[in-house]
Amino acid sequence: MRRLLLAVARWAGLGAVVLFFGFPILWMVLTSLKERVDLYQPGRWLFTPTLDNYAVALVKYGILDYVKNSAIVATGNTILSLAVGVTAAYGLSRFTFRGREAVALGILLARLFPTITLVIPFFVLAFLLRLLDTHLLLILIYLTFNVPFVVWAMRAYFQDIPKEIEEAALVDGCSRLTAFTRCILPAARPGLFATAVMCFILAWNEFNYALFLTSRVAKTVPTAIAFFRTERGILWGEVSALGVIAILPVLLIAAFGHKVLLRGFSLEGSQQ
Amino acid sequence: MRKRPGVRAEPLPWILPSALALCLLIVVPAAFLLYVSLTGYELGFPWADRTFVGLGNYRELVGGGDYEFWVSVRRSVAYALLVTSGSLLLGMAVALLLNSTGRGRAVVTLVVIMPLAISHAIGGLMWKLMYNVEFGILNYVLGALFGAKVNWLSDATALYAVAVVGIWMAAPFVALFFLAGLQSLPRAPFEAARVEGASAWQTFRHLTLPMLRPIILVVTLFTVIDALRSFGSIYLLTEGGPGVATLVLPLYMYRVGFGYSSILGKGSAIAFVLILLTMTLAAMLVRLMRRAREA
Repeated sequence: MRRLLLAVARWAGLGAVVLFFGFPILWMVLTSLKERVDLYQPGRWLFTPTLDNYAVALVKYGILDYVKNSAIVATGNTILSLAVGVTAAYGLSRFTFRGREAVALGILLARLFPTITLVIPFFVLAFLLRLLDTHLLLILIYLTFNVPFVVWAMRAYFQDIPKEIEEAALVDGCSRLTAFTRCILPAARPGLFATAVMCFILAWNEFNYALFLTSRVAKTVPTAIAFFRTERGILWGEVSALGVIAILPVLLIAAFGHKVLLRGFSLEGSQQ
Repeated sequence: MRKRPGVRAEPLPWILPSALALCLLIVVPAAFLLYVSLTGYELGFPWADRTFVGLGNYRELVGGGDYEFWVSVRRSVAYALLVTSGSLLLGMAVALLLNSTGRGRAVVTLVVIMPLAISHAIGGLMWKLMYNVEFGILNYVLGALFGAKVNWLSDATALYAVAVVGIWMAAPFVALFFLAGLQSLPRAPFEAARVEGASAWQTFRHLTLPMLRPIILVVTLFTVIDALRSFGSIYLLTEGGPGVATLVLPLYMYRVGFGYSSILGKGSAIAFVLILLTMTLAAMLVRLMRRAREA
């Protein structure tokens, strides 16, 4: 009896957890599929779904352009963050040198830095350098959070790869760089892939910088929410469609490669 | 590490790109921010016309001449406390639940981490849909059960409503962290406790909690820092309002610098206060982590 009660309690708990974390997402998806009449009837669970909201968002509001911008910025920044961060992660995991702890510390502090505060200096500097509202600006600025992430995640990953792998190559006369590209990178492929996916998601989701530093040309998906605030109030159906488009990459990854997502987030948690 | 003949460790070129990028993109702008905070620069005026005011902006903020500054400090502290306590409790509960679940764990974990993978702005949007007074699902359920409606984002409740969204976004991280911690605990003491006939609560209180202490401290500081710098969800939900109800420091910085006025000088001073606050906490965190590693 006691065991049965415990089991029931556990399933109830799991149900509550799934409801709290999952329902807001489900609700937005449902809202995006509703016609205006159904929007004002939250209790109507059986409604005829429509894709009108998506059509309006994509065609009338030109969201496709912002999807393109987000994709360009996220891809460019992911490549750059990996190129810059992975080498540092390798350096920190393989060499002992004076100031290594200081560098690792600096990277960690960068990870904790309140980047929202840099909106002001970046705004003024980008204005003076004529870089406001460009893809390049966002690709560069997103390094502020993605490089620390890459270094931290990959450093932990490299530490788990036995040193013998590249030492054998070094003894065979390979240079350090060849050993790195031929032996270490292939061995670290799963970690690299998960890190890349995380970088892409973090850049894709970024809101603060994009809100202040882009206006038209380089505007990204999350910041397009502002368009759906009209004098007649918020266009809930259309803005929900935008929200679904914004989380689509994540939903796809969750559906087809949730292991990568789990690994990525455990990398993020590897601060210890 | 032993040095091997023929292998000269040259760490500099490996580290340099990252160090340079972070210097250029964080240290230099932060220094520039500090400089702007010492001026009375306003957006829209020529950069050359700025006036140097020394610590004037800071004096105005701290000296009581600006009532909204202290309000926003209080709001930030309240928001950080609510989010941190809420997500620690919820995160621990979720971690314990997941740790004792066999079948279905992967699915539940996947749902739990979804808020982490979603833009804070979009998360704010989702909750704004649910909080809607007229046709939000929360009021619908409340109306069906009790025949009552709540204006969630009104003056009295907005800070709590916004904090719930903060918890929704922070608790998954806490849960993952605790779950990893729980799974790394040694088995033996728990076996012994069971043999001794300890209750579940006693085991948790006297074994699990003390053993997780270092992780709990680290997670707490992480969550506090993250809560202090959150902007996107609050901006989407309330823009700091109604009035000053949810005016945390980043939102106040936004209002002064870009929103209600465009006094970047003063906005920068607010931003720099936020940097000092979070970096002090970060220094404490680093200390804790180092001690945990040495222990």
